[in-house]
Amino acid sequence: MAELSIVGKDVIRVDALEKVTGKAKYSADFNETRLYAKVLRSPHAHANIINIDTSNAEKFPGVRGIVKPQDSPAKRMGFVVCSDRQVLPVDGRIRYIGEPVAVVVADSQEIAEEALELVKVDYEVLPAVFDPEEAMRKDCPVILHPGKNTYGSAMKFGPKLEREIPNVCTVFRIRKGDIEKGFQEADAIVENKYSFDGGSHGRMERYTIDAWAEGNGTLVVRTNRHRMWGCHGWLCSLFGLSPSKVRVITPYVGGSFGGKGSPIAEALALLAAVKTGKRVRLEYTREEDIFDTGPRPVIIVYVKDGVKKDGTIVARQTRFIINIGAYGSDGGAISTISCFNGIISSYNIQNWHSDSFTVYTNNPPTGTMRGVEAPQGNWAIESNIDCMAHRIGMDSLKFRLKNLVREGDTNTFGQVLHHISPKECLEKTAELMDWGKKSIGEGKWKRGKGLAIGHYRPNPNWPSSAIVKVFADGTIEVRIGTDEVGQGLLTVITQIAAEQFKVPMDKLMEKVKVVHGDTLYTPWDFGSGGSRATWMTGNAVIRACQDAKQKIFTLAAPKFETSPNDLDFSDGKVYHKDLPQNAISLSNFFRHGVAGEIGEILGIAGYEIDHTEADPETGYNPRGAASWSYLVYGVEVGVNTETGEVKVLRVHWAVDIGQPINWKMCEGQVEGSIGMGIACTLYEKFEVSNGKILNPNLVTYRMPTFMECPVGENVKGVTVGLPHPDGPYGAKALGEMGLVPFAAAVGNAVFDAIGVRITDAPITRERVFKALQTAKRAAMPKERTTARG
Amino acid sequence: MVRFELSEPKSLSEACSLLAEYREKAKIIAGGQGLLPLLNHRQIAPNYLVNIKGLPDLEYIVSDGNGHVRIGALTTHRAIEFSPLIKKRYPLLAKMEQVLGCVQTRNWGTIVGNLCAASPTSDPAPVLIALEAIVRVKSVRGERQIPLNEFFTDYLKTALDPDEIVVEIQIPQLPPHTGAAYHKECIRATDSPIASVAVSVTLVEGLGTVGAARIALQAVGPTPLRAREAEEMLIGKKVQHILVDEVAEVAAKKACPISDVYGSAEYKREMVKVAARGALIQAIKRAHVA
Amino acid sequence: MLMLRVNGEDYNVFTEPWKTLVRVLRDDLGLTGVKEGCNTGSCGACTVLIDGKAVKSCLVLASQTKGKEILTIEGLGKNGLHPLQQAFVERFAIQCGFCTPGMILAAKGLLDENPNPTMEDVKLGLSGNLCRCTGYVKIVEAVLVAAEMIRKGA
Repeated sequence: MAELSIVGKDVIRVDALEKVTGKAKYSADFNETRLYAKVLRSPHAHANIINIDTSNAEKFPGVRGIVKPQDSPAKRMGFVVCSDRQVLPVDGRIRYIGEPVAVVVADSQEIAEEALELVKVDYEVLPAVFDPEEAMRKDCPVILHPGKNTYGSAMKFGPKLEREIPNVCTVFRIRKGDIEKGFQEADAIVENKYSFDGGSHGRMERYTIDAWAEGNGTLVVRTNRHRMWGCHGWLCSLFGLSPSKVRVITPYVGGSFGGKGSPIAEALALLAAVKTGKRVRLEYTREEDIFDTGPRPVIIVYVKDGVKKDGTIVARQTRFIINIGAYGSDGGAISTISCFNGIISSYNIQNWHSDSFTVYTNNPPTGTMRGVEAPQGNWAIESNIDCMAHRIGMDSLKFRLKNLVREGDTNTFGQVLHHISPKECLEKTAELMDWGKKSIGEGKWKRGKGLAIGHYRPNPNWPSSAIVKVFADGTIEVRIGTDEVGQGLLTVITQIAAEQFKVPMDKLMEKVKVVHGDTLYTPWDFGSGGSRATWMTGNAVIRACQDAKQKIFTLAAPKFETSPNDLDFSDGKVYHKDLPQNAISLSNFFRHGVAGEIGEILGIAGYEIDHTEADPETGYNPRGAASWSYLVYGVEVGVNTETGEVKVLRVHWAVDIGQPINWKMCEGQVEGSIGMGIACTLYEKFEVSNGKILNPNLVTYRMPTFMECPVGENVKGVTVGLPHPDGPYGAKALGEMGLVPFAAAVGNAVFDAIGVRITDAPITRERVFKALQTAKRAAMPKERTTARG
Repeated sequence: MVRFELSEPKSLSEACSLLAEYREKAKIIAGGQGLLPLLNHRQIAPNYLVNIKGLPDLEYIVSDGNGHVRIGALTTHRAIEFSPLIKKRYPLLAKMEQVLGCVQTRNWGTIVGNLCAASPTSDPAPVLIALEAIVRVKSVRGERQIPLNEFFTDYLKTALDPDEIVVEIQIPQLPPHTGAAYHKECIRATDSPIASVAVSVTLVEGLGTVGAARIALQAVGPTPLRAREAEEMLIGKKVQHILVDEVAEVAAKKACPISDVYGSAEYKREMVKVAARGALIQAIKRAHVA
Repeated sequence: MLMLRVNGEDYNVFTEPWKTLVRVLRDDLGLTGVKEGCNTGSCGACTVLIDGKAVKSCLVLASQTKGKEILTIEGLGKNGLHPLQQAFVERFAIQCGFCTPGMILAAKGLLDENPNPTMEDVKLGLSGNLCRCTGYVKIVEAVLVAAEMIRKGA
């Protein structure tokens, strides 16, 4: 590959200056005249709405309108195979505590809040079900979606809609090899039940939407979500409008990490705007943002692994029960298959049977969160890997290396793996953390080290496209429909476009601009999500740049008296490849902003991955991913044996992400994942009682502060691996992967420290304390074999 | 946010008159660090807020002729954290402030405001009880003093009448060879505690015997709890005969925690033991060098 | 009528008594660099300096800040970037950027009081500010770099 001058360099983020001066505008920063909307939410987990009396609220001074279910479209929104959610309960059925029932619109937030209390709703309370294993029994008397089989589906791929069991939404099965035979070959069977509590994305910016109708009837929302165009499509479908009659704008977004699946909030804001004829702001409180933007679900994983004395994993049986709450359309429904994205390409396992279920219960609907539940799958699997190693008395690094996939091996879904470096990730991490050296504690603080490996792929399901405009002065304007949610996509695209057009580093900010965040100006893209943006949008941009260059070369060829293929472009100038010193400014080919018959120089391209979909009955998916990235964490923890407190002391890591476009930003993604990992693994959990989340606030939903996270020399990572031939400049996916193997690495380190296996995440101090008490009481002579043999 | 009328009295007596008029309909706001979250989320709805933040002559930390230290009602946590007088006379108070919430809260919030909010997880409450502090209280009816030991009456409730305002904390001079410590067990380092214990121990007879002891448990009941039986175990005891684990067990028996989002009642009770042990050992150490 | 002094300038604001400082700064003065993350004082995104001290503006009634000097992110770096802003940019301590203004002001409050903080001082001093994107690693780095720049007279 040619020497890179912009890609692969630590280019300063193109949005850094705006953000550091407070000039960057986020959703709530636009100060137009507006009304304010507040959502009335159900206090019951399962109920029929008998009557909504808004008469007193309507009379309240300052109230301008109230949106009720009869004002809402009846169409059901969906994600993958089951469209199950209406914007407001047109079918008259409430299915979770906090479900929107009506929207009050008033002159101020305070008035709207007060008027909310004047709306009287009569409910017929129904029996509810909260436990997924209870809900998924065929004879469960409480059925959330009696009409499930008639709902229809938004998309035809992914897990299968379950038709026989009333409260199961989707099902996905893996049937690889002969599981009975596999277990018979095993010298040891290791069975455990793992769980992972639900939690919030915790993005710093709260969901805020401004909605209005333009004079010509176009509906506009300005919102802070990922998947701008996905939202656009849903809104067109909901309101029965053509694509040109709906506009979605996303300014800078203060964190995404998934969630905000079906655009309920955007639809509510639009209904309020249409009702009142004014611009309306719907701003979720922190509480609403925590529980009602599709938080991650509670997952139970049963794992049964069979292993031989020599360390070969011979059989695996898994059962995933995913509690998706009241609806699957916020993203929950995909979890049955997505929970495998961090575990199927690590080891050679000939026999693996699995059944995974997403189950409806009367809890707030869950959605996708960083990794789309792959982290939870990894928690169970990578913990059990250590359990197997421990059982047969093998060092857990050696155990992993023994079973690890190599170039050309086939993954669990039947895909042949190429351009992968998991072994290098393991070995490098082990070296960085000095794996062989035991971690020694002091007094009541015990220390331990743990490893885990995870992987990820760029989501292949949807296409991307890009437009690149080249101005006469050589300025490059890239238009993309993908979202900048903080991950640094604008900088990645700037670097890619700059490399394509050979823009010098010192002219980067001046000569390259990325237009994003507005469906009026940007081409369709699925958006940020599934770690796809660098790969998909990046490749689309490269193709669009090449298309633009081709147009430039066609335009310029006559002047050079040569074929377009002989020409090249750099720093705003065209030249013959053999005579770079005779370069001609692009402006020479323009007259008054028009480049002859070409008009504007616009490069336009789409990009899709030719892929297969997993068979929902067997899991077979031979071309499921364009590439696989890998990440290994080596974590050192301290455990206070008096209180059960766990502290993450050091994290070493190695990634295989092909060619990093911008290494400092990649580091930032992993470091941020470590912070989020510490959050999910040690501190954050929803306390739920009878369908109510008891701690939807940042006082008792404890997001880690600086004090809980290692910094400085205690967090260190490197990149290994080689550029991927199909990635943009060889880059592979990264964004979500950092969260995937973190929890298991910590769990394995805790085991190394205290000899006790915690199978329920988060590993709270109380859980550790109780486990230590239980171990003491069991009073078995503890001859501890550590994870390092 | 709740809509209310804001009164801005120019003097303490004007504030008292307003409180006498509004009574239960009003809340006093100084730093508001406890009050604003409740107002923002409409968890309380007073008709009136009486703003005393700007009142003159209420921000001070002074030593008086009796050897007491007096802290004015508008003194911020941060002022106490950095006060040379506090660091010299009651170093525990400054240490406690260092781990109370975050810098921003301490810059604007007042220690008196914290006490009046009567949160069962307040850090200053058990510490000031261990230090035998009292509050001086004013109203149109006159003045009175309330020992902090009697100030907290129930969950989020104080002994104050609706027309009363705390104007000052007074901490008596500590007897010689008194050491005090505060140990809190938290989930995150700067959280409110799962359980915390403040201990004050005075050594007599050449530092060999415990002359006085106060143990206050926090976050394991609706109010701070004095562990008097545990105190009795210590008084008159020779230092080398103190069985810290036993004292901690007895102290923990006084706790009546509830299971909530901070933890189960059983776990909190175990953490009280840890905190009591830690605070007792530290207090005795400090008494030796005091 | 409320008289406020913000970023060195005087303003007359007509607002309601229940308005918190963050609301007045954002809605009445258009200083949208001050962010509103939670309204429980838990996230720190609303941090401003009042008389040089870091305070969470969602927990302050605007009326209580009469006669005080308020500094928001817009007031920093009026004549070129403040070393903290410079360091945050150069050390990649910004991702989504939402916590950044509050974080920088909290850091300024810290460095104004303690010009030579240790890593632990920085962690404790900023423990009132949450960040979900960075895991804090590069923020601590940036603050320490800025501290050195300031000590060297940048």
